[in-house]
Amino acid sequence: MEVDKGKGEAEETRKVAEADRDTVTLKSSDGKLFEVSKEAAARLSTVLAGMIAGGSIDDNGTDLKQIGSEALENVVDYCNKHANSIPSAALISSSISFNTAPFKEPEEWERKFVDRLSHDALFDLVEAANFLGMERLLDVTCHKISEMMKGKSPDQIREVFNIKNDYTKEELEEIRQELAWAFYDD
Amino acid sequence: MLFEILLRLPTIKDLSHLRLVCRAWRDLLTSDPTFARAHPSSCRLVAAGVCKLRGEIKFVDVLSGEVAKRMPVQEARVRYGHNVTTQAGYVCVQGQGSVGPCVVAAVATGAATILPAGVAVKHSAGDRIVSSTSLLGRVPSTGDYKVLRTHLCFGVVGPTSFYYHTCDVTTLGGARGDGRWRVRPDPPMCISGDFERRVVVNGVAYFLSDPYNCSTTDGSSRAIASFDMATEEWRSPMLRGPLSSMQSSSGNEMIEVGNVNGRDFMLAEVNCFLVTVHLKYQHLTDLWFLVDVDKGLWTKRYSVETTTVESRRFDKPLPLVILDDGRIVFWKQQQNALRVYDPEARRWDDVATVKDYFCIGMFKGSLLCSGIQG
Repeated sequence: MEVDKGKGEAEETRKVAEADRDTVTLKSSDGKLFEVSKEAAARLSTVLAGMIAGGSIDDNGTDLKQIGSEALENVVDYCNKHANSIPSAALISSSISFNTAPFKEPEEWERKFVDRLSHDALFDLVEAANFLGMERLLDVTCHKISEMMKGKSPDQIREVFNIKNDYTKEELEEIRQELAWAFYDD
Repeated sequence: MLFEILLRLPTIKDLSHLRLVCRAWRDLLTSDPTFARAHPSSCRLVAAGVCKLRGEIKFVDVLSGEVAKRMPVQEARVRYGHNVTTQAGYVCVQGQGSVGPCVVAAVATGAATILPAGVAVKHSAGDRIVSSTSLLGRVPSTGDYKVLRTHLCFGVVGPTSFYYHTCDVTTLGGARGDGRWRVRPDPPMCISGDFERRVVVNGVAYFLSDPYNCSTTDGSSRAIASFDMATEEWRSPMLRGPLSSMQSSSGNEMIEVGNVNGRDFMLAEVNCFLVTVHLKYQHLTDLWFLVDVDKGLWTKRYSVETTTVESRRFDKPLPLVILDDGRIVFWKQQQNALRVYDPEARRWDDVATVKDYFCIGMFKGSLLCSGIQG
């Protein structure tokens, strides 16, 4: 069977997989197969962890009908990279006390990982992460999108999100005035 | 998915501007309690204050000093009201002087309600109202918001003139709100209208007496008047303030003082406790916590040291909140500053400059969505 790999050390991963059977095979909606380390999958995805624990992993490829091959490739790629990266101190220590945001800042490699994605790929990856219960990947992708939104005009945001403006001119003006008052700079 | 993304926008400013995108986004951002609770801003500690310069309410993060939000006080006569209370996402500001207008604003949306004008209390002809104050409270059992207004009146009978107090109450919005002021019994003593001498805690308004206008005040009084927002009655008997001890000037002998109504006392709400603040010595401030409301039991939890340079008379350190790590945030009125005190290290740290505020109180609730109890 021809197994399509995520980016990374394909040959090496395969050898390990054959020797120890410590990988799982995932099948995208369009039938492509991907292999990912069992340990990383179980650690990063609550859904996959449940499937592995429950024995519902199919050796011929576990069907993930909701996820396209591009998004699944990114998911697998992320898992492999995550398995290889050494967690930094920032990741290990949980939030110290009050007032720290409950979301952790992305690591440098995670930033790079999402920076190279197109808009569509990024949104697809958010949905995949959400579907697979991948809290950390959801954090990283949502953080990227929220950064993309900063400093953008409502028009630009509507374009990115493909949203129709359903306000009247008067309503928009009213909200603008409210906001101008609330957030003028000193 | 949108929910997850928007949660990652940390500042209220970034989020608020997204209201302009479409109605669905606006509804999520301004009236979805689940979103407001999940957003990191819900665990920020924010103080609300009325700023003297522009006539606006500012919301300041007490740990960073960042201004998280501003709100205009459009009613001209309320602008410089130094009389603000906040409850679960609402801010109430009372104009200055004789029965100034009173405005309650929903912080998330900015929608303001001007409370009905006029006074329900029938005063004798010739008497006049000198000043009015108002306190916003939330009845814990029903969730109703009520405003208690007290009026300081000046009366003349024959050759003698005197001051007395009256009060009225209104319920805000909802099914029970009828937009009217209801006359309630007169306060049981001559209560203070000063910002730092009255406070609402868990639906009960507490008042110290007025040390300036009321000559009838019993100098040794330990009484604190309390008005129950649920029953709309003054509680009887009155709550007795803590007994404090002081060294006599002659030596080490301890003398007890129970006069909470002197000028060296203030009331504050700290982490849902009623706190009596005793500006004891030049450099020492005691914080007494009412730990059992029914039994009237007070405990002195903190003795806060200030440097001798800071004169207590002019400083008035008002406690705002105790942090998870045990430090206490104070508003130092005269220093225009928010400062934190570490009781273990006995050390002060600056947090932020808060210039030109009439008054500051912890804001309870969400800056995003009205009606969430903080």
